[in-house]
Amino acid sequence: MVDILTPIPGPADAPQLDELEGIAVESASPTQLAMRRYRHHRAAMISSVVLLLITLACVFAGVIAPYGENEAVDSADGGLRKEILVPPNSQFWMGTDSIGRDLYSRVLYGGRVSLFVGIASAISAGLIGTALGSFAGFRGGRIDNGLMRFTDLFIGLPLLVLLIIMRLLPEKQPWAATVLGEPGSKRLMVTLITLVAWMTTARIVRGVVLSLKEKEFVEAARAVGASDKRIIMRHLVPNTIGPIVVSMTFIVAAAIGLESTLSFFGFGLDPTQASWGNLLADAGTSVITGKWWLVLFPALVLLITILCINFMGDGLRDALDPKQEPQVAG
Amino acid sequence: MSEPILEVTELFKLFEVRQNKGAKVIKQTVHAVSGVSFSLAPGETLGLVGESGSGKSTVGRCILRLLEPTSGSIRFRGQELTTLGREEMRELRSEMQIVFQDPYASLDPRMTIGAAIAEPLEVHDVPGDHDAIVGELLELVGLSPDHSKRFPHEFSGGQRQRIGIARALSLRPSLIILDEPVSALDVSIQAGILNLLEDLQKELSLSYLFIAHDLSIVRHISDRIAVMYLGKLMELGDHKDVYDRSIHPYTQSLLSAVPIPDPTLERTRKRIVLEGDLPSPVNPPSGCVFRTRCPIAFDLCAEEVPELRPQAKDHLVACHAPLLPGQSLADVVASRHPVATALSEQ
Amino acid sequence: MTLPVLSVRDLHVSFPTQDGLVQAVRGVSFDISEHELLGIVGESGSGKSVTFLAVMGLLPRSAIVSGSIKIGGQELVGAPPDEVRKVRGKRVAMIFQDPLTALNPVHRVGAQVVEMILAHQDISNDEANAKAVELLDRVGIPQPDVRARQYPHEFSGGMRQRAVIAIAIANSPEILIADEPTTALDTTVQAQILDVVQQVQHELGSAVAFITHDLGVVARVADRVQVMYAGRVTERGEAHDIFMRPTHPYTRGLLNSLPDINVERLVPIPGAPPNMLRPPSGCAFRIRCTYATEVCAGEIPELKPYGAIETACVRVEEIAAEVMA
Repeated sequence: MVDILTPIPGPADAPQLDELEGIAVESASPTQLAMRRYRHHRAAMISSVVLLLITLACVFAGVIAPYGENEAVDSADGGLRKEILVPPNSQFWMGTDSIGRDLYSRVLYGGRVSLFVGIASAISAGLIGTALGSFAGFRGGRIDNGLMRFTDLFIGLPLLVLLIIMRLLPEKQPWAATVLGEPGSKRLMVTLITLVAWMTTARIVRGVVLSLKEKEFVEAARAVGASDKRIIMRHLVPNTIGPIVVSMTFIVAAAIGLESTLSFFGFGLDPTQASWGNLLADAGTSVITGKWWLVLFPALVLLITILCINFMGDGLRDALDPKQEPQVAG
Repeated sequence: MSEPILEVTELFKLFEVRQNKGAKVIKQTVHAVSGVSFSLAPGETLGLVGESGSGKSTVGRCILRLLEPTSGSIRFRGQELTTLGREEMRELRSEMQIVFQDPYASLDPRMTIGAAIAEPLEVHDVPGDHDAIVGELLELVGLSPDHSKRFPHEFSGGQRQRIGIARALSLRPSLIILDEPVSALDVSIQAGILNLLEDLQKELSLSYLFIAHDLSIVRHISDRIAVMYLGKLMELGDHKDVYDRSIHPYTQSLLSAVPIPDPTLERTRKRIVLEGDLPSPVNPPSGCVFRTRCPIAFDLCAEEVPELRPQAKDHLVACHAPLLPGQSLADVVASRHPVATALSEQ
Repeated sequence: MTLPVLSVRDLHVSFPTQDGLVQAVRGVSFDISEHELLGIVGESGSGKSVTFLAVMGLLPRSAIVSGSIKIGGQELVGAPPDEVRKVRGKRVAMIFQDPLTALNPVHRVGAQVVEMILAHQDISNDEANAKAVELLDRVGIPQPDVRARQYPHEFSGGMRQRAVIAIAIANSPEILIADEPTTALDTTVQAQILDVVQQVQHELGSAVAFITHDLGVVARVADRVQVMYAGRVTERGEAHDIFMRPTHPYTRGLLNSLPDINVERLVPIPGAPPNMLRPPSGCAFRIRCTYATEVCAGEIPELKPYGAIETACVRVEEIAAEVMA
């Protein structure tokens, strides 16, 4: 039909193997590529920097804060009075509260607590959700069904009602205090939030594991005789870490918000401990009486922090999106 | 003839499917593979051809027990596979491997290709320098050992397929199941992979079960061809017999439907265009599964399942009225319906 | 001689991406006349699909398009989106590759045909419904009135593709673009659909652009064939000439790599299609071409007539002589 090409010796400057084969010159792992994509996400990068600053400031509150957490500042004129309800000025950047405590310092110290609760909740919710979700996804069948119905149960319960009830339990029942945590403690807060936050991660991880299970590279591992354990650890886990991290990021934001809400209503942390929620609770009706700074600054910090975390989550999710993987033609 | 390396007898694979129709749950059975038997000689390539729903991929996976056969026997070098325990099966896995269709999904995106190729060696605790072995394998499939630390996304589809082949070869198997190994590749790349597979077969004395839907490729690479339709074997024989002298109406229809890259030939040849669509494997037709679309079906075809019987030496067919070697189905149909054929040829 | 239905001149399409500018189409010109089926052949990165997405006005907003696309004399490049929308579906229509995703799973099939009709024809709902049933009948769907009320998942793959064709021809377009319409179908079903496409073309007299990578399909349906590589046209001519007497090394390479009864060993084209972020200078195919010399790295070769064929290879005469020898 068609005359066969007779190969003729090529030119002296024959192309390099790389150019011929079309392979990229510099190598990059999927993780490196994801980091590169993350850096291109402007909102995420700005948020990362802002959040880092806030976190560092709160962590080093002991060094940065001009006053103590519960320090009622004495009046400048030396009398027995305290500097109560002072609007923001050069000495008290965010003003003082009804007891005379510097709000700026309390915001810093409170941030420690709120951020701790957020991160700790995300980690424990993430671990539980991942364990449950991956087990359900990998085993499938009845186990999957059962676990997912169990998950649905938790999703179905009214969030705040559940939290309030659980929060009151340790006050009445000593055994609950030992198991869950003392009323008003950070431990109790983390436990409660974990209880209502693990489901999202579980569902996400289950979904990812289910889809991965069908991928040919998992079949290939099975065809070689790899054990279930090996398949999970070597193939499934590395490919689920992305979605897990994204999920956990959003949980941090949700947890901080949740803690603030609960504390505001008095069902959160011990009022003697500064947290952003407690600060808002202290502010109470201050807006009406004209003490606007007591509400504005804690609320602003909360808003910025949660916004930043959400942007970072968006950035991570986009960066880890497999559809963005570059494909070489052919 | 030496002992076959693979012997499949009366292989059945049924899937239970549950459908939710409102409040009721309807259980249906998908007859993916319904009684398939064939053997593969050492060093031979058996092409397994069929359209969607034919069950060809399922057969491949059952042989490796990636799917558990519902019933039937699969003997590898005389040893029955279906009754083996997990550990024993694991040991045998080093003898039989698989190359998948999708070059983009068959490699773990987070593992370097070197690690992917070395994984079988790790799983089976193969002694020796794994890096060196990986390097050798990469060269064997036409890639540079320098690339072993790179990731799958850095390679083209054809290259990834070569990596998949290297992985399949790492345990030095004697049987390789190739599940549509070139279907997802560009045409100009396919030839390179096919040549590689042929070369490797000669060099390493491999036996291939080549599963595909592209008939011209199958004919080129196979020694014998098996044609499947809706879970059953229709015809089985030497590649020239099945192609040039096919005696099953389905095979001829299938061949007729494949466009030939030659405008003159393609536009002047007589074609058989099958009507309708493939029936659902949930409810296969009674008797011969092909009868609903077969232009020469008659009453017996609905009543009795035709068995796969030898029509000539080493040429088996499952049909109640197989054609004669060299006889064209188009002619047979034309002689029965002269008017209809004349109209369709306009 | 009548004006060609579709006239493309010097079309360039680029996509800005994170890694740089992807030059998908790099100077493509061609015509398609009524009653004519132009087979467009190419592999990954050839730009064949992007070219026709540009014709349909379906490129993403970030795409950079230059050149001219005229349908019956009407210029589409740079035209306001409203005008492009009026043309799309009326004068030019597309048949996509995957019938599964081309049809909306939550609407009845008949309704989807009606939607296309009513978008461009000012008739009553009843009239549109009747037309929809008639169209489904024309593409060979049995019991079209019953089928029109069904959902896509109740159709088989072949029938879905017939429905997609029905939608495409609903407004009797002057030009039909079929982008790999049979690639996702079984072989025996593919044969049916090719019949439908040819029948429809014959009835409507439309110009058809048939995009595929399958040379067998091209041999069957195409009047003329256009081969594309790395965003450019490398060869073009009557189907018979292209298959029997190809002149461009890429076309020869493609044909040689196909399994053939008379060939013991296939001859692949070495290498892989290029990265369109940084296509090679000069002739993009030179890296894989056994006949390449320094000349080929210079200017990008233009499509020039050579006998009955147009070919974009500067060495075409020398190669022909070498092969004869």
